[in-house]
Amino acid sequence: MIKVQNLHMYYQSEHSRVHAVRGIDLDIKQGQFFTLLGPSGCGKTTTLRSVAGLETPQQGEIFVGDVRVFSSTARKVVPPYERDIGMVFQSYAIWPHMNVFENVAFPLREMKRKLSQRELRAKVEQALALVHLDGLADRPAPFLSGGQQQRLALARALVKEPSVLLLDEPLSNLDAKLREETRFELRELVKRVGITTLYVTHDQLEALTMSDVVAVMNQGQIAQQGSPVEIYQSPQDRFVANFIGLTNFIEGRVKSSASKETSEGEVETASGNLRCVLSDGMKPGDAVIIVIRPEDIQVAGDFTPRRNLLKGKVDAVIFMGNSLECQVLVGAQRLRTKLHPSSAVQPGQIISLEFPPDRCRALRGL
Amino acid sequence: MIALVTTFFYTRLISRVERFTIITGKGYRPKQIDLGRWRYPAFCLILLYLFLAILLPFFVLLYVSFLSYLQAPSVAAFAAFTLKNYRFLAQYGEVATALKNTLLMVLVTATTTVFLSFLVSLVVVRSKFWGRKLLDQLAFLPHAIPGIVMGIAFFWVFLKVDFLPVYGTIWAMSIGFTAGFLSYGTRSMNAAILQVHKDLEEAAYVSGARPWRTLWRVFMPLMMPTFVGVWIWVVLHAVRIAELPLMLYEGPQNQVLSILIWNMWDEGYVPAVAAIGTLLMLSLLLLTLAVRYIGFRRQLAAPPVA
Repeated sequence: MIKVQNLHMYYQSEHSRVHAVRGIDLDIKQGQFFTLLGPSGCGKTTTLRSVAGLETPQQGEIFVGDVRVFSSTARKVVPPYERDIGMVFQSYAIWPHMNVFENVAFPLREMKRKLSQRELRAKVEQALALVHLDGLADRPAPFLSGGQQQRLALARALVKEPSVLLLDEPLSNLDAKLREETRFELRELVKRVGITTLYVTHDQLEALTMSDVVAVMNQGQIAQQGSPVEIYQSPQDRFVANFIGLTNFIEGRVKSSASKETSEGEVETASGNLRCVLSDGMKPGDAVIIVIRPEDIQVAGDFTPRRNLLKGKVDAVIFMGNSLECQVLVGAQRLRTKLHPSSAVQPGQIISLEFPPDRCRALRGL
Repeated sequence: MIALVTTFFYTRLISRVERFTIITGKGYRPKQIDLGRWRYPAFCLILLYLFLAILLPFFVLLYVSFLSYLQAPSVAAFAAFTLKNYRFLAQYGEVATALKNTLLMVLVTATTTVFLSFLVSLVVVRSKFWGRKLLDQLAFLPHAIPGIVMGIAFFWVFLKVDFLPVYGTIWAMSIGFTAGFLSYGTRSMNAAILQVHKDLEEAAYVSGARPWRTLWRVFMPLMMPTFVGVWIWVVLHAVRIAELPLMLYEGPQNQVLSILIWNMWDEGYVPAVAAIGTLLMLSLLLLTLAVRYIGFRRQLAAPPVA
């Protein structure tokens, strides 16, 4: 539904030319919830704005539906007001001089095909009902709460029934509790409408909980693209692993290559050997980084099989409410583990940590 | 010179556009500050100021306008109140001409000033035109020039420029005033345009509105209070400033009210001048209220949040 090919965007800052987007390719299927995730300045918003037509890239092609809306080779730029899109801005961009009804009616009034008063009213009311703002139609827009303004912006973006919905960090201006509720509501809503959605955020939790596909961006490029589960469990490089969730990194060297059946192999680290999932083509002697999530590390009990264990000293225990963050010194390295809050660990205690082999992923080191 | 230096720093200051954006799509809501126990002293202070600055001069003017000749207030003076000054104005031919001239001159001046300052500010704030800073400085420059000097300058220009036969007419005043008020107009417009966040227009684009529709339905309405504000300001100033018209007018058929007042005062018609002044103040007050009511009706209609 949205296709982006080899997108490049430069812009002139005060001192230098910035290469903000460096060859982005996206292929977003009909009805998919697709998220661009990355730190600020990674080019995610620029990419979204290029799809909207608010920025003109220097190179690449963009398709919305079957329409080629941008092409550098064909020198074609379809202006934003002729693209079949709806968009929600980070600031919501609600027009303060109009009431709720007029804000939502605006896109309908600007359509080429003129609607009858009845049709217009019906469509606006339907859109407002969709975001639970029915009954507020006559309220002046500035007199809405933050959450209501966010939903109003969504209704305005959807009222024309565009083929693509673009969302630019729409939750970042809400307070924490409302943001959490809205995450699920928003996903549920766009899934119910069935609209193809391109979502931009720097919040990994939003990306993981809402998306069908996440593309992690770094310095103008896509570092990794996949389902939230893939991104979280099998990060392909250190940046992705570090950006998504808390992660432990253990440096090591491949000792024995992966076996045919399991793709697990032996890695030698400063504190002992660990069995890990190796990437394709890793040979003995290769430098690697083992990535393991805090919640995947277990404290070994009496009945745990005696393999993939490392001994360490508990350095700090932090109560987090629903978990205990336990920092363990293994050799010179501090590992973070996430334990059940009832776990009986004390600072200073010597414990064995179990590393499930299928949870340890070896990434190519430098 | 001082004005030039301050102009320079001013343009330096506002060059970082984003920081001054105030009207965004969210949280645009007037705020009330609770003064607590300072409420009454503050109220009294404002009343005192209003009294000294506005009410007292007005009542003096009103009082004098009912007198036959200038005298201190006394029971006898009040007893001798008369409407003859007002009757005199109605008969005095020059008043009608001056009134018509003033009306025309002021309306044209105010409208042109609003239009030109908007265009200049649009270029200065929004475009990437290389000369936009220079343009801004030029528009601000008249601020540094005293009205009388400006009047002399325009006097010479209109005297020498043959292809523009405006010398001595109310159009000469209109041009002079517009140039002068452009500095104020562009300041207000710059500030107002800076306050309209680009998101609001971009939201209109992605909602399917073409640029001129966006201008018409989003940008202009948000600018309306500023247009109205600048317009009233120019009307009020153009009506009452006498320096520039004094330098530029020629002959009784080109008189405006400010000159008429000046001339009549000069000739000793003090109570009649007071009568003109009273009428002028009342009509300007009504104009201000009317335009403010139209311009701000929407904002006033908005109920507070529960």
